[in-house]
Amino acid sequence: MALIVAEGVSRTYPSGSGELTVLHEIDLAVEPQDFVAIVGPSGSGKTTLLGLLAGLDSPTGGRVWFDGTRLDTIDEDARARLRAEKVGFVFQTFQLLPTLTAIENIRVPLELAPGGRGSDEEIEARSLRLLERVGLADRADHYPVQLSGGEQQRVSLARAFAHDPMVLFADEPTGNLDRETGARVIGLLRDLNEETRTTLVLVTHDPELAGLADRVIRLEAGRLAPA
Amino acid sequence: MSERVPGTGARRRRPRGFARRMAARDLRAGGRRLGLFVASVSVGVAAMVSIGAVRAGVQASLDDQGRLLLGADLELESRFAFAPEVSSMLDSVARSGADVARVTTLPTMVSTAAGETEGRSALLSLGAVDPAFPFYGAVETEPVGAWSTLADPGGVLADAAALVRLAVAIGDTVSVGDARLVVRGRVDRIPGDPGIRSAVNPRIYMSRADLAATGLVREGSLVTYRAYVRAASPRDVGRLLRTHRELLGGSAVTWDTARERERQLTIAFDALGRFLAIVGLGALLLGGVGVASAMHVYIGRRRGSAAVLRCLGASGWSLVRIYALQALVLALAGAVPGAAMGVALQAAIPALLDDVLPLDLAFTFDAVPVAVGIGAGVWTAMVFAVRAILPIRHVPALGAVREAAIGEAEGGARSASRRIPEGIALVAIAATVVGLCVWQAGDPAFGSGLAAGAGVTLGLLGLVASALIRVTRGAPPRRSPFPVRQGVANLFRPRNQTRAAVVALGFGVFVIGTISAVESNVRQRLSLGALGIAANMAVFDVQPDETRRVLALLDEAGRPALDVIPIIPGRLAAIQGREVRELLAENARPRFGRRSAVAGDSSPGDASARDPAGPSTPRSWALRREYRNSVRDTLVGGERVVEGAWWDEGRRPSGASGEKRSVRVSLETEVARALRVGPGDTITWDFQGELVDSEVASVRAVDWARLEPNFVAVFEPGGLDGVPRTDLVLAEIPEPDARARFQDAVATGIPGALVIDLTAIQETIGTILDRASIATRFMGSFTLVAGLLILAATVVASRGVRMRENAVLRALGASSGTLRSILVTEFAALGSLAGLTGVSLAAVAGWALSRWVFEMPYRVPLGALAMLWAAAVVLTVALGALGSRAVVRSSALGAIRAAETTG
Repeated sequence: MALIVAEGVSRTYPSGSGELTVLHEIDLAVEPQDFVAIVGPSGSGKTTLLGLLAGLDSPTGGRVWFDGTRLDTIDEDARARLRAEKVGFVFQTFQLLPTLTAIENIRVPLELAPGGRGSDEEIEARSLRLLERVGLADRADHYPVQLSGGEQQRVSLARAFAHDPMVLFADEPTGNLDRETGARVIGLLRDLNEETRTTLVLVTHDPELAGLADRVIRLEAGRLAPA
Repeated sequence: MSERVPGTGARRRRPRGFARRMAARDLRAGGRRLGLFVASVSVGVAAMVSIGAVRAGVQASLDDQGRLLLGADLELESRFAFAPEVSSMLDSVARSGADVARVTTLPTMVSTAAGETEGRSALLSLGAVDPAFPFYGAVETEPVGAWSTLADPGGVLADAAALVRLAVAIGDTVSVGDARLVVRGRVDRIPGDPGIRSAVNPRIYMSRADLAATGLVREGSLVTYRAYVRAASPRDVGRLLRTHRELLGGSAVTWDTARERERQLTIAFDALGRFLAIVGLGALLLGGVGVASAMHVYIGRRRGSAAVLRCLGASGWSLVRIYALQALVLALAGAVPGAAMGVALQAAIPALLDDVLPLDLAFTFDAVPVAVGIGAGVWTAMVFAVRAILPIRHVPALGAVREAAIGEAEGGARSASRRIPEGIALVAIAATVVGLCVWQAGDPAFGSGLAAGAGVTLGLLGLVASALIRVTRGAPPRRSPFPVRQGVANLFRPRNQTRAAVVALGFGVFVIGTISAVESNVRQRLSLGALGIAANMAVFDVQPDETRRVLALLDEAGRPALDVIPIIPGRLAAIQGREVRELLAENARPRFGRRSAVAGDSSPGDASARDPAGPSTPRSWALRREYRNSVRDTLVGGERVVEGAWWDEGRRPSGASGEKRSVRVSLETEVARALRVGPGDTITWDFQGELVDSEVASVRAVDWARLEPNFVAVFEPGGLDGVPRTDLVLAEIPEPDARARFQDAVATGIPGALVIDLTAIQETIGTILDRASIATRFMGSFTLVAGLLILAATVVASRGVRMRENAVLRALGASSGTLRSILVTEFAALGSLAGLTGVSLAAVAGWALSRWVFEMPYRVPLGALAMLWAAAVVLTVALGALGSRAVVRSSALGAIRAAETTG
């Protein structure tokens, strides 16, 4: 059974006096442990589709099922709980919380996970292990502003995998990094994905990254196009 | 806490302590920037705690020193020598084990004896005492213990003001009436006697044994006889009054007890305390505005993080909890040091009020006002903060990937149903403001009015600020220099908090401006010049045959008399044909259903609560008092006829009896009401044995606050010819030396005449006003400081944006001078807007208070308000410059880097 199902999903936004349709009746399914890359030119609706699949936004047409739950039937707080339990995120702009240190950023999903993820010591140990895994154990107490872009994205990866999500959504994870740093992040992402067998849905412009995916979904002007 | 798992219906635990942990982390990183906002809470709490502590201290002092207020348990007072029955009652009280001491007081001219210094004289209050008085507390004298020397005749003690006026020292001799007495010491403090009274009415004390030798007690002298009793127990006082109240009432003796004095003082200080607390409340409310403003800025900066947290699974309300917890910590961080500051300031307020307090205020620590201040501070800060925090729950998770989604979600959250919590928060703010005002004012109607006033003022400040900002926006012409255009444009920077800064600073200016406006009008009203009174010297008790001599003395001084006003002392003999004695006896009888131990009614002010008389019976105090009346053909300024008609409009009374004359009289409203008479009613007067019938022709409202002489009863011209009278001579002598010479000449040449230097009274009124004004401004300054702190905080809050802008300007070639000019323009515009809004509203509030509370004419104190406005501008520019030093100094690259880290 597919983990994520999108059925006739559309999304329009108010624009000036009229409406702007960003996505047109998209149908797709993501199976468990799939690695799906969404590609397409700027403005084709990639990030919008990612947001809809992750339950960050609601479609204006069609339906999205996530692990058997129809997302439009639950409210925003219920979707938040769903994300806390089953979803991880990696953003183009890293989106580390600036007021938290590296290790505290990794702790957040563990602390937010419904029912908690172990004792404080266990959370700390797991966060540190993940930090070691991304090669930043010595920067645990550094604030995001004290880290380089590549380091921030590695912390972001550690945070995304912290609570063993069923699905990891990544929005242009290498978009703000130079080629070399981007390659390191891709390697790390692939390794972590293989270790945890997490389903991976990512939006990218990077052909190298898209090439690693099991499946590539191409969007053009808000519609699915042949890959 | 638990919640439902989607799709399962099962309940599960919410992550424990997440909000607490997140709040702590967030605060650790960003809390320091809120320090100045937090300080505004501190200032508000300090104001509340300091005045609360002083009030508690006054109450504690009253509890401790209540009996010192009177120096005895009971005081009996009469304008006539005690009747033999009263004296024998006092003797029997003394025989039963109580202590009794007598004190006789009268105003008199005292002069330095011939050969001493330059022969000065002054009008003093002479107290002839039994040295046993006071029974409670000690009289402080120099040398120590000098009070006991009054047991021996031949000497006097004088207070510092009397010594200065007479220019004598201890050991000199003074003439009091016919007696020459040696000054044996200086009286520094008498229990229960506020120091300021000595400035108005300097005192000299002598042994009662010497009184006869002075020859001052004679027919017509203004002598007051008092007897003080120290009872074995407080119950004895009540018993004594119950037993003898008929005798005392019938003998024109009034009484006061230590307990009653304490009660009245409690009421008086309570009113003063409440007034100061209300003034201080402004600071607390601004503290709330400060916190709301702080949280608004803080939340604005955290929206990105909030979106990420939402992405990671945090619920909207858990975000509210995270920031509410931070607000709580900040509120406590502001309130606790504020309370400590308030306790420290508690020591300062008694020093301001020292001379006007009849008791020693000890520094006491009372936990109640401290706890109440912290509680009120935290609560106020929280209700204001929560309103600013609530919108964070609408931040969508999508904002983490698409920033525009945050703005869209906020737009969508404007629907009424989604804003119910915001509505509740607004109601909580309103309820808090009303609650605080009612609590501090102690009166629901007045408190609600106050809250409405504060709300309207804050709302108007916001509206006026918006309007002024709009006007200013279009003000600088296109061709004006770049720094001016840029500086003004900076006011409209997004999230610049310009309105909050204008409201905060404007409210501070408003409070101080209102105090200034009212104060300047009160001073204006009490000044001799404003009253149209040229006279600054008044000679009382001049016998008609001596009036010519006084006028001659004035001619010698080259200053002819301005006016000669006859004064006819008299008492009431009957009202509407019923004798006063009969009416007094009726009043003294206990009435069914009333407290039998009702105390005497010694003054109009307290009589209403204690007079047993029914609504139709004249009040005892009005029946017993001696009236100093006059004869006049016209109305004077400060009075108007409210009932009946003045002589020129009225008809002559008919039915004058053959033996007694009947004349028309005009009574002052309060006395007419107390005597239950109006136009057409008859009153029989006793003018030193001569009975005169009168008919009330009119009732006048008199403004007693004016210094010009006025009288309760004014008779028609010619109506009292031949009746014993004295004259009051008014003169204007501008030079202080000439006034002193004239005073001495009258004292030596015309014994019995009393010369009052109105300039000295004016100065004393000025001193009292100064004290009141310092205390009020002291409390008002808390609000201004809170306003300035918020202004400073908004400057600091916008520093990151400012740095980025300046970095760009620097990169484009702007010099430090240009950047400084932009800065000065921006803050000068801000200070001008806030100051102008504040002083404008203060001018209106001053008018409203003058009209409805003080009931006096009003003139906008343009000079004072203009100065306040200028001060607001200077302070704003100074604060802005201080907070932006780094912005101007840094290099373009440095500024960009700094902006990235602080932004």
